[in-house]
Amino acid sequence: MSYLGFVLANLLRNRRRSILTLLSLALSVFLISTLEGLLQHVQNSPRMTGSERRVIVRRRTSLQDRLPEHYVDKVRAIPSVEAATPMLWFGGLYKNTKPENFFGQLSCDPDLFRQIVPEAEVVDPKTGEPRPELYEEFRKDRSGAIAARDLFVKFGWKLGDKITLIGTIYPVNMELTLRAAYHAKQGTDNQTLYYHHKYIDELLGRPGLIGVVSARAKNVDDIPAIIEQVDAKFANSEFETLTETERAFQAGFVQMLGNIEFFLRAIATAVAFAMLMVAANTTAMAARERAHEIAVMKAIGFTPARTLALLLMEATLLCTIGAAVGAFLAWATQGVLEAASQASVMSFFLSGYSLAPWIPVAGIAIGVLVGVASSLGPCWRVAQLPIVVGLRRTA
Amino acid sequence: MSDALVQIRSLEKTYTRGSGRDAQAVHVLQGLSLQVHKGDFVALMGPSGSGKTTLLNLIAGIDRPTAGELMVDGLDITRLSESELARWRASSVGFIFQLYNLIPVLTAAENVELPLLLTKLGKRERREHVQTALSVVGLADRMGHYPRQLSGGQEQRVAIARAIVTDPLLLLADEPTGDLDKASGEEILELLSRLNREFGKTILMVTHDPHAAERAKRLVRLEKGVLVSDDVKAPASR
Ligand SMILES: Nc1ncnc2c1ncn2[C@@H]1O[C@H](COP(=O)(O)OP(=O)(O)OP(=O)(O)O)[C@@H](O)[C@H]1O
Ligand SMILES: [Mg+2]
Repeated sequence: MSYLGFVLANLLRNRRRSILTLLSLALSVFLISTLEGLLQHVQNSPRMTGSERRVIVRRRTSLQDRLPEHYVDKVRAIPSVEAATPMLWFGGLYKNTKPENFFGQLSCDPDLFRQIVPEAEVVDPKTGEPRPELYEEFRKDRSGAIAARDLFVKFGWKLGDKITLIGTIYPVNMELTLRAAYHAKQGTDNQTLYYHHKYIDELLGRPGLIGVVSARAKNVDDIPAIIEQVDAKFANSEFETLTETERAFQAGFVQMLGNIEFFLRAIATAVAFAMLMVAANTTAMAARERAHEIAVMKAIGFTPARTLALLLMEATLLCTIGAAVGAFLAWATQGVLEAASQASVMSFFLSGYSLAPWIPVAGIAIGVLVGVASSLGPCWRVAQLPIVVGLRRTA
Repeated sequence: MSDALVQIRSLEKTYTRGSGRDAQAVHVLQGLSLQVHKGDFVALMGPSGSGKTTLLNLIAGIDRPTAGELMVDGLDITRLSESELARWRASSVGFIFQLYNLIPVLTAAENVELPLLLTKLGKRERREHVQTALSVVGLADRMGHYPRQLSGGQEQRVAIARAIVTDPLLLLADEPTGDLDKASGEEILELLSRLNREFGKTILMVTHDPHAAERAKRLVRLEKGVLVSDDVKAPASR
């Protein structure tokens, strides 16, 4: 028998309790790791920070209603507007109706796109390295498209590939050639494909209608004035507009993000706290129940320090196994979580979710630290108990 | 200098019962003196509460006296620190409890091996020592049994093996037959006499049973914390 064997024998003494403790630790570390992973993912997701200079002009009646194409020029004519582009949401299907194949499809003015969304860097889809010259390929090709590099990776696309988007809102299919990739560190999402507005307009028989105007102000401070001017310009016309900052346009989403962060942090904290209590309680119970036995061991000649070390080894081993199981679960389920989210609104948050390796490692560390720290008190008390007092305790 | 293995002079032990204002001093041992020679087999008798267990615990170094002198094999154990005392116990004392106090999750062999974990012995040597100790108590065939798979008498024999496995100077037994039926108790007493006779172990045994006390070479009576009689019997008595 070794010390480890002795420790293991003690752990197996109350199997049910050990397993329950292990599972609750595993669950806690799983939750903490996954929640932290989600938080990191959400925080690293495109935020609206690069977009504070953009406004979206839409039809006042409903987002589904279209605007006349010449509104773009009228918005552009406002002096404090730097650039403006039409945008139309195609909403087509790629390959099939599976939700995981869904992504944003917006038209734009290829001459102006870069001016309006400068945070979208043109990159090589394979390497992710900057390749600004690719943008020209997109601009030249009327049926060309620029798509987020994440989409290239997800669908295994290559430059020059032809893809078909099957119309759902419009009775046409779009044949597009992938000409460039973009990646935005912030400000815009990495889940959209852009194509020439002229191309969709042609396909639809030149109705001259657009979804929204996306405009970029020369200066952030001009935004309130721009909003007022645009909406005033079209007031009392057949197509009244509602202009909002892009931020406000997506306000619901942004607000939700904020709430979610708070929510996740709160849960993670509560879980860590619960873990502390579970571990402390188990150790306290185990130690108290064994006060008599520990007194016997000390009578045999175990020093208080050695006794404490044995008890802590036990707690550490249990917490480490539990935490490792939890970390493994968090690691193993990241794909499942992302896949499951694809079919729901959460897909917008979770697309591309993956756990940074440091998170489960930190999860294990937290589990072990919290577990051991919380057992320290009860173990210390029992190890220090005078032998004669311990011997008088009934087993 | 005498050749006493245990040298006790004016030993006092006072417990405080309760706390704060209601604290009450209980004078369990009141100036007790006793010598135990090497190779002796001493039975300690006396009414309940007279301080027998307390005295045994003090000699075993698992409790500390309030005053007085307590030397074992020339060593003043009252001066040892907590961990020094623990190491001394590991090497010098074998303690046998009334309720055996085996570790339930360990097999007989592992229970006996437990004190050896505190020594420098290697795995193989530990095994040999365990085997020897268990053969001495006649349980070499029960190495892999857990305490719950053994009878009370067998458990006590495993406990004795655990007490002798480190080959200590002194065996201390607190009512070792107190919880056993007559036949099992008899076996235990026979085992202890043999350890004394054949292996020259010095034994100090607390007992309530006059028949058990018969086995000892010397009978000491304790009453209210003081020795009231001390009989050395004829060495022929068995
Ligand atoms: N740790 C302690 N704290 C307070 N009082 C104690 C403690 N240990 C023993 N006593 C008291 O000291 C007295 C002597 O106890 P001890 O256990 O030594 O008696 P004993 O002779 O072994 O009795 P028994 O035959 O019942 O085992 C008793 O009154 C007991 O209540
Ligand atoms: Mg007693």
